Amino acid sequence: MTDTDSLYLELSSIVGEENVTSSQLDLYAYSRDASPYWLSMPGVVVRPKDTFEVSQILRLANRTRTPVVPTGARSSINGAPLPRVQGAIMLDLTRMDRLLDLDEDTMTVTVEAGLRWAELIHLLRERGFKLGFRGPYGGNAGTIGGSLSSNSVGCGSSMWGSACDSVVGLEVVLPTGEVLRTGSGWNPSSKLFTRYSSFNDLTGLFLGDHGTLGVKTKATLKIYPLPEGAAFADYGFTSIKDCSRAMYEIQKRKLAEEIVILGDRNSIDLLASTYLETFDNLECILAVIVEDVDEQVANRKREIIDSLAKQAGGRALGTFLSRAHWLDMFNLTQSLFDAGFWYNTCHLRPIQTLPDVVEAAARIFEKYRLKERGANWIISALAADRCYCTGWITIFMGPSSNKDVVEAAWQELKKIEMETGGAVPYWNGPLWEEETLRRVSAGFYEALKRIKKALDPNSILHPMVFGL
Amino acid sequence: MAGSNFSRLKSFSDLLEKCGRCGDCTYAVKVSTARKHVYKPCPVYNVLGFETYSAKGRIIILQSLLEGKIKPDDRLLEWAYLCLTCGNCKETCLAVEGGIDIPSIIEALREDLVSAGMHLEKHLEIRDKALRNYNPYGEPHDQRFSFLNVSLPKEADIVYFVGCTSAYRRQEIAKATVALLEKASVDFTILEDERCCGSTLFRLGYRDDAMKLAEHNVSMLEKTGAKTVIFSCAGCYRTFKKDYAPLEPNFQVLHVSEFLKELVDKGKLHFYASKPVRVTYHDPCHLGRHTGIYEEPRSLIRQIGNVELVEMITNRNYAHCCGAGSGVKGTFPEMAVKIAKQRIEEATLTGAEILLSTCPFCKTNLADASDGIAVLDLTEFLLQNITEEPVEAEVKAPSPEEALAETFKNYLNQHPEIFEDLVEGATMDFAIYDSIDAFENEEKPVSVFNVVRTGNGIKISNGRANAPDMEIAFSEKAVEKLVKSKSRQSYAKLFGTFYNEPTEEEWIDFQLYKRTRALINMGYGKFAEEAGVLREDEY
Repeated sequence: MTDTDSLYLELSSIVGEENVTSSQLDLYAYSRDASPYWLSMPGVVVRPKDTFEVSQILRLANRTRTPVVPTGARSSINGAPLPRVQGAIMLDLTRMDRLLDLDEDTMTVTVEAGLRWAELIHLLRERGFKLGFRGPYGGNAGTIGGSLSSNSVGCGSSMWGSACDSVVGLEVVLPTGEVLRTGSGWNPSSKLFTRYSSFNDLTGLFLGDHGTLGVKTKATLKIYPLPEGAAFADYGFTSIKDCSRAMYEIQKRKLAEEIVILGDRNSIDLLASTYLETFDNLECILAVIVEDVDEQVANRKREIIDSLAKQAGGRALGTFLSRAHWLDMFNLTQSLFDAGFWYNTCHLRPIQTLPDVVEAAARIFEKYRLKERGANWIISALAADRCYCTGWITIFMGPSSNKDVVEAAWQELKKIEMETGGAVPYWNGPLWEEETLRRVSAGFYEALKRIKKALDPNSILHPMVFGL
Repeated sequence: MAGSNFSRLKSFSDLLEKCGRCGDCTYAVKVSTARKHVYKPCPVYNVLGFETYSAKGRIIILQSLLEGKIKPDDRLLEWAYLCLTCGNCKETCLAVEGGIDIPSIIEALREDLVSAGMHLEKHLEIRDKALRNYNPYGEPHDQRFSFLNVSLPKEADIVYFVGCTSAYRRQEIAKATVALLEKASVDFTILEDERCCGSTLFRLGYRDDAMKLAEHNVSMLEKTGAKTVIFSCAGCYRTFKKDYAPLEPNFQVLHVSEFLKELVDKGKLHFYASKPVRVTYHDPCHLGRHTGIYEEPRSLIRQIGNVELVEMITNRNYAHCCGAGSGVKGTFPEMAVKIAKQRIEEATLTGAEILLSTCPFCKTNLADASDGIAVLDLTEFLLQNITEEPVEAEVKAPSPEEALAETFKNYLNQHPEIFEDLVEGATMDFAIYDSIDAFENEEKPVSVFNVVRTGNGIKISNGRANAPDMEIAFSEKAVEKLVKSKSRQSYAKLFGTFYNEPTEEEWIDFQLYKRTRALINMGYGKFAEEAGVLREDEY
């Protein structure tokens, strides 16, 4: 597309010339996310400033049957925001990054979808509030809209669930350009304070939709007072089985803000080698973070956690790892990049099935002789809501000459993970679509197709995602 | 592009591959989440809005260029120069220790483009002027110092290298620097045939041309017998310190803030503001991120009586660039001022009346953007507030907080074995706070000093270090107990107790500035173990 094409000119008239580009150089910059995928280049990148402009763009796209791909900061590690078709309008929503309203009466905050989690945390902290779900581990760049579109799980998920669990309501621009307010927002004179009222939960239609059903422009999220108390604890275990049991026992009692496992000696060596030098017979580490209304409550919860961890065979290792993990929020994974580009396999599974997948992963790493080749891996898990957890098993490529071998190991790992313990990915994207589309039931998929057809009759929004 | 295989850029291929495309370089705000002063690091992205201009987008483009997917053209050429090489992205990046070195990578690209005959017209003009007139402004070389009415010796141990911008555009800075040196009775001189340091040419990719200027300046300086060369220009200072390194000059290089701090510490200069004034300080990229000088200018400001120094939201190693650097001011002047306006907004938010800096280029661009706050070079501000004698009683009884810090320093000096597991050069800020809230809210500690592990012990200095590995924060009560420890073992035990089981009164906490993995390699893991931070025990 050149800057004399009619579509380009119409887009320029909507958002201003300085906010639209089809220069090859710019398109390359927008052609990747934080995954290994390189799919189709966008045809044009547009940076709308508000809901009205998004609506105008979607009306234009509908009229011209032009595909549209809504994106945030593209820090995703699944390829989800990358276009699958040529010539798409990429909506870069990061310009829409304002905190619009903080409502203490209903303890909600309404933000534009392009705001980043870390910035929202900063804005809330200044005002004395916190979020439940804080953001994905890439929350420095990850946007609220991006996380809600892809069911992110991350900081705070042990207590508060996924990104989507924190939503009270959304403002969504439908593919045909109409603007919809969900939750109690069905009533134009009502505040957005509850997700469930009077009608169906339309909010849920757009959560995890990977940008296929509408463009989220605003989100209203639950907030809480800043905690006055915090407690930290690290525990060492001699087996993943005992470590998982401890996570399960703690998590089912909903005691902690975050519970995270480093799942094998290699992972401990990669992130915190001193622990292996300091403590004998250490196979796994469980790090627990508690936040509560005051120190007394937080410390009491830690006492209970301590007892549960020890009953499961854990040894107390101090508090350094859990503190560093929590106080350096969103800055953990980046330091692993120098082990080579990352191939992740993030998914959800019942906590009790962790040992099975760790064992299976070890077999794959051995089979492909990853360590001998200079590749590496990390096995970690985060308790998420009730008694399931993430399986965060990531391979780091090492030298680029490992690419083919690492990709083969990665594909096998993904397959094994889906076959072990009833796991499901939380997000999809090219990372998981082959596996999820192979497994999705006919009835579920048919319903999805009908919903897509009803809301997006010309199939302009992120075409080909979910195979639609 | 004919004639280039991007050989210089290719040498960074492995480093480019370390980018995980997390986007921190573009979007990160780490003020509350990680207590770091990172706030949307890329000033060019913050103005132009497309990721094309931030490090993440740049790396994707550079990889595509090396893979042959992108062909060099005029757009790429312009893009190559739409970077301030300020290094804020590098500082924010955690992918490798020290961050992915975008400034060096962009300079390598520029050198490749220049080698292949791709130039911006404006840059050819600058090069021509720098080589013909020995300054990038094209001003007459023989009038370089005509504004300075001083009689200086031909030779001296100390040479003040004035630089082109202070000589031709910001003469008030050169005058203030000279006046300060004279007030302190420093025996110094200025080069008779000082030529452009070459900074602009280095930054624009004309390295070979710049090295000719470098060779001349080094040769002239060595002829004067100079032992120390001082600079009021952060750009010249950076150029001498880093770009001139291959020439192995036999003189010491100091920024004027380092030099003046030594004079103040020796009691040779005194300052006092006649009325209370609040100021803020802008870290020039070339003085801060590029050469690691953060504390000396602040130390100078803090010792001026009646002056309050307040920090902007981004400061020290995460400070936003003023927008002038790396040829941007000369090539894209409107954008440079737009970037400076954002920095002026940060300064204005502090409530300061004066924005200070230590670079004539920063002063020019910030002043161009300011419609309120006064912009001054630190040398000018010091000269405005100089006094013949100390105004405030400098010898006074130490406060209880100062006395406690002194006791702590003495204790550590007597127990260097506490630090014996650390590698040489390991550096920590020791900060004492009056409450945990003060630490968590990043308020000023009641006292701060830094400890550096040396070859045979430790060195303790007042104030923060320029580049500490971490800050260890202590409550006053914790320090009172720690300094009574009889042995390293009992110190470690107590340290661990205060960290692992903090109370409102007795606590220890950390702020880590380096990646955890790097700290472990520097011996901090062992240190933590010895200090009881990692311990296996019963609660």
